[in-house]
Amino acid sequence: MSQRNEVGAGRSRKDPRQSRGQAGEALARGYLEQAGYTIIETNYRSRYGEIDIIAFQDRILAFIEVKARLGNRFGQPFEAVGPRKQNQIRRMASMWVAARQGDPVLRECEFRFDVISVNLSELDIPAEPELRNAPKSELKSAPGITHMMDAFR
Amino acid sequence: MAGTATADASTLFEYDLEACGGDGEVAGADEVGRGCLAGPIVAAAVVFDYSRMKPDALAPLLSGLGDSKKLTAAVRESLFPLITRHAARFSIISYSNRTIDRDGLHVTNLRILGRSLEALMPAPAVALVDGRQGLPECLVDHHPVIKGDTKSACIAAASILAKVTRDRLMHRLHEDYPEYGFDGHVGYGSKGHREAIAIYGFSRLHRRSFNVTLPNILGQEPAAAGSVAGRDKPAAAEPGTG
Repeated sequence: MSQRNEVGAGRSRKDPRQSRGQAGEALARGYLEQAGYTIIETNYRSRYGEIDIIAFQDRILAFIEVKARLGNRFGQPFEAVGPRKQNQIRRMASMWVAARQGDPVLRECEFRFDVISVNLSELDIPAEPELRNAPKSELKSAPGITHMMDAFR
Repeated sequence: MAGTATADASTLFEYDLEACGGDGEVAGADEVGRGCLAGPIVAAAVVFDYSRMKPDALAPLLSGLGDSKKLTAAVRESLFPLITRHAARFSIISYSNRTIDRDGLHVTNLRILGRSLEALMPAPAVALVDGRQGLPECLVDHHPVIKGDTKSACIAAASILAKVTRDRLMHRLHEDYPEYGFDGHVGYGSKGHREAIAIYGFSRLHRRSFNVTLPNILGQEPAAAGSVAGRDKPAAAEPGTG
């Protein structure tokens, strides 16, 4: 029964949003590591939601929401993370920290909420049927990273 | 400071071509929001690959990049997707007012420019940075270009990505803090902004390290002018007057 929820099953169905999200998160991780962050955890989940990436650098612990977009259609990252999502991420972060209470590293840390938006070039993702009719000029984008640090509090 | 002769946009591309030795990749980085009283500082880096860029791709950019400081917000908005489309890759980084208060304006300013270049993967062979000073922490080889956004096409493009991104963000933040007028001055020290601070105090978006006390918020026009000009006042963090 539960096999239906396994990652492999989801992938074989090829939900385009999922593959876009995975491609975006992989690029965001690569960017963060290259920028000197240590990735602590990815896809931290509970029934309240999910935090895409938790990363550490210079006594800052960043809880990072990743938005993957194709071309220029989906606005800026701060437009994509509304108040509801912000609350969800804040609550998830408190839970994550609470579960590690007493950790001496955490005690020294400053916490930060970031949003990273990844522009995927059309090469990075499989064709998405919903986008087939969109004007070419809207779709085309060079690969790009937008990192809003301390995007909300 | 905008007193230089209006650059013919094609000279901006020639500058880049010369920097990369004829054909190849050139990255440009620029920052916006340094002189603001509130909100983040935003930097962008843009790579143009002149060995691949087609003349018909250059044409629409040519008409826009000429004098990026004088463009209207609407023209900058329309250039944004053109730049992200025709660039080889780009990056946009934002540091909040809290980071500026913690690390200082000057350090943050140099750091964010470096980070924007480092976020370009793979690293560009040639990188140009707006300003008069190299970036001490930056891992990417780069050359400072004074008034770079009036000389180099990729720096001008970077300045537009940074400006548009920051303006959009400040307009969004205006919804949360409508009393300050961020949709107009986007955080710069305009008269209206100073008066709003005098009435409502500082919001959590304001840079406390700027030492804008109530007397000099209301009284001192020269400080305000300096903040608006921003770019050639690296010491704007400490107005030191009064």
